[in-house]
Amino acid sequence: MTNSGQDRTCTVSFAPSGSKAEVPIGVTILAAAREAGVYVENLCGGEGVCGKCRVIVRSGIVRGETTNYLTREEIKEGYVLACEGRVGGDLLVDVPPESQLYGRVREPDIAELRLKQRTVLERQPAKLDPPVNKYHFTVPPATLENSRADMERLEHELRKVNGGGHYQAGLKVGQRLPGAIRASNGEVTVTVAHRGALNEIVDVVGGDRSKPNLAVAVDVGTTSVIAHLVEVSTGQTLGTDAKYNSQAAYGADVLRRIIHCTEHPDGLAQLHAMVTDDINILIQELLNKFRLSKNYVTQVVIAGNTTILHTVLGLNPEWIRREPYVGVTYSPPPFRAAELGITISPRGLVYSMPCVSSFVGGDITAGVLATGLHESDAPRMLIDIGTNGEIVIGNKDWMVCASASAGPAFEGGETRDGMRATRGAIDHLRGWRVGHPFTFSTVGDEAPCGLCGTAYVDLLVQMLRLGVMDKTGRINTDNGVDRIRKGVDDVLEFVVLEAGEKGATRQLAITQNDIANLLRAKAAVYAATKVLLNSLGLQMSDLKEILVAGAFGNFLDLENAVAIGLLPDVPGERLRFVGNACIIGAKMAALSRERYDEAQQIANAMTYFELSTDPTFMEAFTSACFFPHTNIEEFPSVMATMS
Amino acid sequence: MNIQDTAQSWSASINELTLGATSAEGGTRAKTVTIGGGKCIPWLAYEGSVGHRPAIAVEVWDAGMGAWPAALLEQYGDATSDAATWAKKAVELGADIVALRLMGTHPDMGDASPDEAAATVKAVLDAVDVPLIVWGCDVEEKDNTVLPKCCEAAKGENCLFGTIKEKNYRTLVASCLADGHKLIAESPLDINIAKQVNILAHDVGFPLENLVIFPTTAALGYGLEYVFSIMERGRLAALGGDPLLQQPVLCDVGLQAWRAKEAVASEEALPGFGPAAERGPLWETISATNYLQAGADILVLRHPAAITTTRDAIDRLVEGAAALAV
Repeated sequence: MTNSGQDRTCTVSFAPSGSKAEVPIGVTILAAAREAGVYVENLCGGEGVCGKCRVIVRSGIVRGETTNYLTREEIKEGYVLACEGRVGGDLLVDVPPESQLYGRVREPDIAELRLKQRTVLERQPAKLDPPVNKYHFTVPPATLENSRADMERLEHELRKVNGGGHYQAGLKVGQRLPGAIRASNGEVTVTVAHRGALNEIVDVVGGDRSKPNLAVAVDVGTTSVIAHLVEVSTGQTLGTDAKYNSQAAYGADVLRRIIHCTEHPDGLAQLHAMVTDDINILIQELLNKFRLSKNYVTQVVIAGNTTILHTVLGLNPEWIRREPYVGVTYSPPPFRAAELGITISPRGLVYSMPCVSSFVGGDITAGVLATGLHESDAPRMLIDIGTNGEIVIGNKDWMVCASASAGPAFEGGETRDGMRATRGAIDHLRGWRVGHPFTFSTVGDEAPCGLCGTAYVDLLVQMLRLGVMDKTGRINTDNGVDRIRKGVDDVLEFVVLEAGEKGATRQLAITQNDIANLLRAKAAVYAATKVLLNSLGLQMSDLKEILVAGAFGNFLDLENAVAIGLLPDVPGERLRFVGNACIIGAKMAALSRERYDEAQQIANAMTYFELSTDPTFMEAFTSACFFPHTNIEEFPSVMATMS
Repeated sequence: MNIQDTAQSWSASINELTLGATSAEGGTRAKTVTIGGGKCIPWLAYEGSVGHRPAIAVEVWDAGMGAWPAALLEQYGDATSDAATWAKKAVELGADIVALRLMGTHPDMGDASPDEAAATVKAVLDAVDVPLIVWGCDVEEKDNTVLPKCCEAAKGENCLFGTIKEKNYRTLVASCLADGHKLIAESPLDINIAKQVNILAHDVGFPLENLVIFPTTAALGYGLEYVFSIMERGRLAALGGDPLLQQPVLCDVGLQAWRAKEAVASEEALPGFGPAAERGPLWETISATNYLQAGADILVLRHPAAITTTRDAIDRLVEGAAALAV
């Protein structure tokens, strides 16, 4: 008897990794990739709505729906969406660069620099003293004269290196202690965790095992998850990695994810599993890259918005959405990583950057810590551009913060050919003239396969200058530019690169819908800054400096960001791009418990300003939905270049 | 007791704009009309000049007048048989401007061709010697083919064409630039979009001083106070120096007033609202005079009684302003 079609299994091989999976006929390529341990980028978790899980089928039969995310040419070349293509026989599948996990986030490693300078505002550096530290010393043997217990002798020695205070050890440590002390003639390595006033003796082993001591700082964003692996004894960042937050399958914004938790009995468990999986994937990738064991990782510092942090910790975020909008906790203590399903050392801890309110999270506390805004004499503003745009205005005496929902358009979401700032992403575009191709650069100098946030900023400026679109963002079909055409569903698009042009792995274009999403994103950020300033009775000119943060990639062309109205038009020297301040702040906390405690003080010092109930916000938003702004007089430098 | 003088002084004013061209100016009009120039909150002459007298434009259709309420149509008798005759009647009734609405080009109301529409514009220009407003049928694709032809036919006459909107402005801007006409910039009761349309027109080369703002009009009882406050905000911003809101303002009163059920319903249907014959013109007049207070520079009207009463109101406002002027 022959096998029925249902039972037959097929071999799916993935290039370039060479990994294979045996799967039953009819499963999706995405599922086969998971089976084979091959990462295929996706934002929506396989719902067919993000269009990011592009793969190329080199040989074999694939069945599936047609999709609007691929051009006719791409379909001819064998492109399919991995979540929609179903295995119909043995397959050879290419995972193109834009769909692979990562490549380094191209960001100069300013973290160490920051630690040395201490902050953007150049305070004194903090001393390296991570919240979870390892101490190597010798415990003198017990004698008839000194017959104190093992634990007492250990603590006595520990106080010499780690200072006084309360020490506490769990039962496991007690059970291991006598063996550890006696294994190497009293030589031990003790892992101690900072828990406020208390020091927890987390682990004790015999011999010198103090190095390596690794920490992972994670910026858990609504759209992206970014991880940095740090050797805490030197402060050196070993590697960085990033991926999309898989929770996006349950909604692009935090509110929809909360609703998912409320409406599905397993909702919270699903979101928790997805985001901890994301964190684990990143940690494992980083460790693999350096052939390091997870047992060396003693701490993870999480910086995320309040809702995301709730899901990481498995706390129910339901009441964040309901009046009067409260979370379970804004300053969670450190928890055992194993309890959260985060795979590091079994005794390792997860620290959370403290949140301010239900809508201003630990990401912004981390940003303030990194920039040192809380020590500034004159008022400064910090703008963190992410799926939620967060704004802090303040100085050493006061801080006010607000949050505006901007959407993921600058992070590779909500834009057809958008991607994170990873390998092959075009990050800057320059000098386009009608009839000529763009000059551009890509992350890692690789063949262009998508556009990241900074590229969109540059692109919008070029399109405005050349009249390819008007100030409402509408693409202009009248000027005879051959790169403007009707794409899928007759939506207008402007082609940045044709497939193959300058090595492009596929056609890269910006669509009318992409522009609308980018316009709304920039309008939300700008409107938030205006309303917050107005509420304080301040003008842009009262701010000594505007610090711009975000996971944009290498750097943001500030002049262009002003030209599209994303950032206020202030003299150039008062505008500074500080990179991903969130992850820098998280890293600072991972390297210094003093800084970690300082983050708590920052969170306590910030006053939250609710924009959604402010009657002027909608008006400010509408007038910002224009390039650069309806009140063009707020953009004098842009006005000057127009006339 | 001394009462504090609350008069404000303003740094900027509403643009002056002239419609129509005499033979000396390359057209065939006997009269031109200049509007705008106000440098005060409407009619507060002690703050500054009230500017030019607001103009009354009387609405004329080329076809489709079956859509007009009978009470209104009977005022015009046989004059509505063709646009040129209707326009003459409008001038007799006291129109400073004839507002020709090309409803006959609407796909559902005759679908007149661009050439036919252009011929109508020509005929109206020949029939009367006042300036012209030429208004499309408000179906964008059709207007984009019809209005350029009409612009060309009226070249040199310095007409006011309408309307450009945020989403449809390039074609009409280009035609009006080429043929020397002024433009109505329409926005949906939104001061931001009003500015945006002006910026967009400016970006494709149209001078800001050749634009008239049409902020959308509502009849009494149908959102008039909302329009009023939008116009008020615009006026204050203009006087405060915003060049993108310094354009004169047009109010399309007749069309909206005669859509109100209070203007057209019978006495049986609306007991207690008074005689039907008076209600329509009153509804139109009250709407119009409200907009005079909000700073309207052009009022588009329909009913002869509304035209007469509004003209009388303007006379008295101008007189009062002259007495207040410093």
